[in-house]
Amino acid sequence: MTKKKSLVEVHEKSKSYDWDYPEPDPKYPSRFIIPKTGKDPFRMLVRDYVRMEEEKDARTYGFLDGALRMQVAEKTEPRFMEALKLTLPDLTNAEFQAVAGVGMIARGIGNQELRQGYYAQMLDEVRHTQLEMSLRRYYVEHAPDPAGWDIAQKALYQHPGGHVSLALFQNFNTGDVIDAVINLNVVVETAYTNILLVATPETAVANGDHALATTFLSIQSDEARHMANGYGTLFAVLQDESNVPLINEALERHFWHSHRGLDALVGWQSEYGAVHRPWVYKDQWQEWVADDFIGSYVDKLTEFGVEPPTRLAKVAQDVSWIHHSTALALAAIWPLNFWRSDVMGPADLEWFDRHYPGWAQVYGPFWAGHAAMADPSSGRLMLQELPSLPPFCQVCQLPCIMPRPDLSEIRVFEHGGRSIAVCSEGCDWIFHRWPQAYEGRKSFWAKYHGWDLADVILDLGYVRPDGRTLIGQPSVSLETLWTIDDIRRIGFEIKDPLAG
Amino acid sequence: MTVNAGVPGRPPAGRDTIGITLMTSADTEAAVAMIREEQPDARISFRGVTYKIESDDVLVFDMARLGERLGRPIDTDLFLVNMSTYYGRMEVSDDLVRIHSDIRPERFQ
Repeated sequence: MTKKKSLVEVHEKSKSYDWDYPEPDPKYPSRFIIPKTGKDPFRMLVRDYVRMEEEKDARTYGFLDGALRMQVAEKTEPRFMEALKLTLPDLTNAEFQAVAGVGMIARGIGNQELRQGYYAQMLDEVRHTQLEMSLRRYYVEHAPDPAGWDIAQKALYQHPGGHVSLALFQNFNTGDVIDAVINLNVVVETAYTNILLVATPETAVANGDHALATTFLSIQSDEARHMANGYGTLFAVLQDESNVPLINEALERHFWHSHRGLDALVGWQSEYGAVHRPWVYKDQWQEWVADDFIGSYVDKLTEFGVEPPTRLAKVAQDVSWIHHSTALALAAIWPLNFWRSDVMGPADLEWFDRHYPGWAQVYGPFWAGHAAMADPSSGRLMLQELPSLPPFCQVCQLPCIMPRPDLSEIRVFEHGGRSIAVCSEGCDWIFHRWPQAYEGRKSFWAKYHGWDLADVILDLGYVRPDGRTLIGQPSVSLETLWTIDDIRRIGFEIKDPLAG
Repeated sequence: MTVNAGVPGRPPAGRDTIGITLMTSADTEAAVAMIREEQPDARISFRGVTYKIESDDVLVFDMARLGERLGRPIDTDLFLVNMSTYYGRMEVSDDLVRIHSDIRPERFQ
């Protein structure tokens, strides 16, 4: 019988098979000094990678067969399924941006061992995109209301919620490779993906969706190697002291922006996209971000000059509120959504106020109004009750009502001949530090300034096959659905709040 | 130890706690039983679809001993199929998966 070769010995030998790229210039210049040394915690070899991933896929796709037999999609809480119509394409955008991003990173890292880890990661990101598309195919074929699943990726890119995703994840493949590593591998994958891909499966199962739980947990098992890529790269660049201020600046930028984009989305999905809530979002943030990421990782890097983000305390405070404000905004614009929103009932209101003291006073009146206007016979929209539409932040693209509508930290200033809004001091710092990265993005409200809401919905294509019934609805329980005629009768005009 | 992240200017404390989250499965049930016996100081919490195993020092998963419990061979590749996430410093070597509390374990020095 052939003795199995030692992983350590084979891995050491494989590192000697190195090569120089014919075109050493990376796509974007890097300010970092990137040493040629580095260690891969997983000692990843192709032979092992293929075997491991094949087993993962067998188990995950095998479970989708089981989900068909158990009629999982048909039994999932409608509220949970509807919120996924935004969350899943948002995540798929992240995976797809990461495919290109990791390819860019691998080109820019001169260390063979680390490059191996990044090549595996690139394959992983392709796998994740495909897993999510397979899951979405399952939903579009078996969810009781598939409207929105069929157009989800294109719909995402047109939607204000999708702009949050684009703003956050495009940084993966645009700019300095080490900055991209700190963004993707260190902040997003080590800190934030755990709440979405590990904790949210528990919520999924509580709401009947075992298919999502199985898929997400398998995706995260690859993310674990990505975290290791980030660790290996971080320690490579820490060998040169001149990199330390750059590392701290990147950590500061991406921790703040990731908080905005991901705490808002994942908090919304897990609390407003759920009927049964096994946990409280702020507690999950405490566990996975504050305790595990900051306490057990970033705090321990201080001996090397790395500093925890200076805005950590502000993030900890805002985590209690920004997803509630996001939920309010997404429900207010329900006609513009490609999924059905839902009414929050007495049990929901009680849960929110119990876990977030003060919630009822700030958000209760909105949800009462939303419920009162849910039926088309009301002839009213909550949009009409707002004094004006809130601008979207030029950096993170969240509506400028953060962290709470009554405590908004909006700043408006002139830049390049137009008015720009940002939601916070953190986004203000990011914009002025890297204006070229953010100044070009156009506003959703600006695009549709002066349009009738009905025409916006038609332009977006968010109507069902009959050409009249809206995909977006204010409740998952309506007997009579809103149509484009109901919206036309209201005659609501979009007014860009930043228009002169 | 819980990090008091909401305090502006708090001094970085640095936790020694590290952990691994394993998806609920037959392999995981055996791994959990092994840790309960071999590392009784480890803390194990069941989250419905996962187990989170934490320690303030090092977590060690020996594939030979795990295979004995399972009644079939298992190696690091197949074991890692069950891992959803971890925090700490991972080291995969011959038939061993270790997660270290040290910010820079020996292999990375």
